[in-house]
Amino acid sequence: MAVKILVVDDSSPMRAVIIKTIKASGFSTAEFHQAENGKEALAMMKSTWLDLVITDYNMPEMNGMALIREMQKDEILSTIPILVITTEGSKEKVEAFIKSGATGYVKKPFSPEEIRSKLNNILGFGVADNDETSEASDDGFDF
Amino acid sequence: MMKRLKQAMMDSISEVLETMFFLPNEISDGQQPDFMAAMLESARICRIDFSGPISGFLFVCMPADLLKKITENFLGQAPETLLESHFIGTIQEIANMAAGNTFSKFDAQTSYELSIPEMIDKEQIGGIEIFLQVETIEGLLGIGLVRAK
Repeated sequence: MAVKILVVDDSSPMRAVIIKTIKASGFSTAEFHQAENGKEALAMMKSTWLDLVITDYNMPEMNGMALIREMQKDEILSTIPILVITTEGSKEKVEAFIKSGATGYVKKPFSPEEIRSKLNNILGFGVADNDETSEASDDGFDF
Repeated sequence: MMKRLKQAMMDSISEVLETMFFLPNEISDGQQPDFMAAMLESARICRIDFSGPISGFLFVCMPADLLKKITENFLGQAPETLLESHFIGTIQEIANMAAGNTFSKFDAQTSYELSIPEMIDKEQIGGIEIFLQVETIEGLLGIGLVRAK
């Protein structure tokens, strides 16, 4: 069964690049959904079950932090892992993401290897779906 | 302090272009009047505001031809399929990553708030304190910083 991933970013080029990177990282069979901000993402989650939410922080309407907090208030949505991909790299902000309920964090600019490692950890896959040579990172959800 | 901020900007834009756009680059001081004037005259310009212990805005400017090439490479799409929104989205993302990365490098302990990047005209830029010339194999671009008074 295909992994269902929601990519939330107000930049359509960045959404496209994140999806391209994930596919190239061994998750070629994943099913991707897209939203431009937290509000749109929450609406989408009401009708679609997801295995992972990948979100930016700095977005209009509802930013990534507000999205994470809203998801944590919901019994079902709070079980979905959340990977934050953002330019926000201060210690204070990263700690706030963790406290709010984020499962993992990747700072832009990112390499495909970082994305692969985080996805393997979060989704619990030892080896990505079409890459027999890759191995899961053992560093856990290192923020 | 401004010297350290300038170095953080240099390291940041270099990392963004190499990691996300696979563009080797060389960065030098771009505060020569001729280069700045030529760049601002011919370029698409994107601004992102920042606020924290220092506030102001950072801007990225690049000629339309270079932006087109970078967008093609970034998205891996054929040129004929690209829309204006793709070009704007790409330069906005460069500005966003350059600013976020700059302040992480400048002061990792402090959180700077960033605005949503927006396209601007050259008339909206004044009082430039840092301006860098970025040379890539695809062409030249500029990145600058203006502090709020």
